[in-house]
Amino acid sequence: MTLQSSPRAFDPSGTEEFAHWLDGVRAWAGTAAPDMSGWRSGAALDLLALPVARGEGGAGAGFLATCRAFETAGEGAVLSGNNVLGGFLFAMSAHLWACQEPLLAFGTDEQRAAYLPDMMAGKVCGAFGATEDGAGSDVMSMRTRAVRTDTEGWCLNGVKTFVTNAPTADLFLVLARTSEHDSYGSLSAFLVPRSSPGLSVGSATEIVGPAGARTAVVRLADVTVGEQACLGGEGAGFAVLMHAMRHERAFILAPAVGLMAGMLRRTVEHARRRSQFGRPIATYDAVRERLVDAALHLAAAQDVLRATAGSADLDELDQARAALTKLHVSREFNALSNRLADVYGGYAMMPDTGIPQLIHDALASRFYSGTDDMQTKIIAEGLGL
Amino acid sequence: MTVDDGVLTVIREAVHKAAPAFDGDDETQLITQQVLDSLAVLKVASRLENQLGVPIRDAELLPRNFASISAMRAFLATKGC
Repeated sequence: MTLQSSPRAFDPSGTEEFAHWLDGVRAWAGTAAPDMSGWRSGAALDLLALPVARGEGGAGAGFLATCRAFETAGEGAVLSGNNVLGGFLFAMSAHLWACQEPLLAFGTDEQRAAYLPDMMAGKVCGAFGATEDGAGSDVMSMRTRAVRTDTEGWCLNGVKTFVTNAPTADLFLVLARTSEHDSYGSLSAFLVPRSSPGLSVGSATEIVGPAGARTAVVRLADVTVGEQACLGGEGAGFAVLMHAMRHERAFILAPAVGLMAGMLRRTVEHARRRSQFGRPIATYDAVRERLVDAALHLAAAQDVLRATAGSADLDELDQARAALTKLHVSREFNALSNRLADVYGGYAMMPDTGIPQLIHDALASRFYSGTDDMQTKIIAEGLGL
Repeated sequence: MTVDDGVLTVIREAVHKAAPAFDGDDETQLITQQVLDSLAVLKVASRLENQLGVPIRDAELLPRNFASISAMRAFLATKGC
């Protein structure tokens, strides 16, 4: 990479240079493998440094530019037939919003210096361990415990499930209970390196979507960390969780919006090519209506996502807006997927069309970062209900 | 005795809205006595933001800032309220 091809070298907001840089992102997405080589080459493009302020060593591009980049990557992957990259971009986003962003907001100078440069450079992959078997939406019922040791540190025990990036992560941000009373002050967050004795990662959980994302169970058996591993201080776990979720809910679906755009283009091409009853199916009103509907779903998703990113750049992103964005884009994603499937008919069952994966990815989007029901609850509270 | 400049009233209303059964005073420990759980704290924070026009950052959603009505008043004072 030359300096001129990095967003660090220019103001990325809507400039020709930014558009040129996005071409590089699109090309990367077309060939990147969903493994650590792809992770590092994406990081070399500054994908993981985009929203981080220049004063912190990042590209300082802001949230809107970051979303545009991940949208472009998602679209580029689909148009190149790199169908499994959608989930890989989701995994990169999980690293970005649920691990790196809380580190930025809550980390001490020492904590940020220890991890942030390598996280932005793609040398350290982050994973967020919050969910447990008995603590999904009801996160406050988590059973993972951290107790103080005699040597000014903490000892962690528990099992985390559905930890995105766990199979490859170098650093885990783990939520644990540090006191027994059932209130939000009882949670704390810890930065736990993969190399910590007692930390083990199970084999990758088999999931049908998002493709390319890898998730696993993480077990903590008498894992000892120092006092400096506590992020935000004792009792700040809920605040860390809320910060991670606010950003994750707002932006985790940026790659999916790109997938939507790419799949719409692919399906339009399919409708032009495929003939029935002697003429292209694109000439039938029923097919055209489905594609127009899909275009409406895409536009609605793009508009809300980008408006939310713009509000975040103005430091005006609240929990309700983040939840609204997640719920809205997820609904549009599912609606578009179903409309496009109808255009393919029986061919929608064939993996090469990309439709089965799209539908699985869309289905998954209803559940990660909080279910639709949780988003609805948060939005309702934001309305004062 | 803290003089109510209007902010205290907003805080008390926010706490009562989030925990209608609350019958303590300004010094009651809302977190350790489980008057406010995690979602209730979010409700209180959201209401304070809306009513007072002051943004509350995630990093400020700490137990010490919401420990009691008096603690919230002191916290908001640091934000110019």
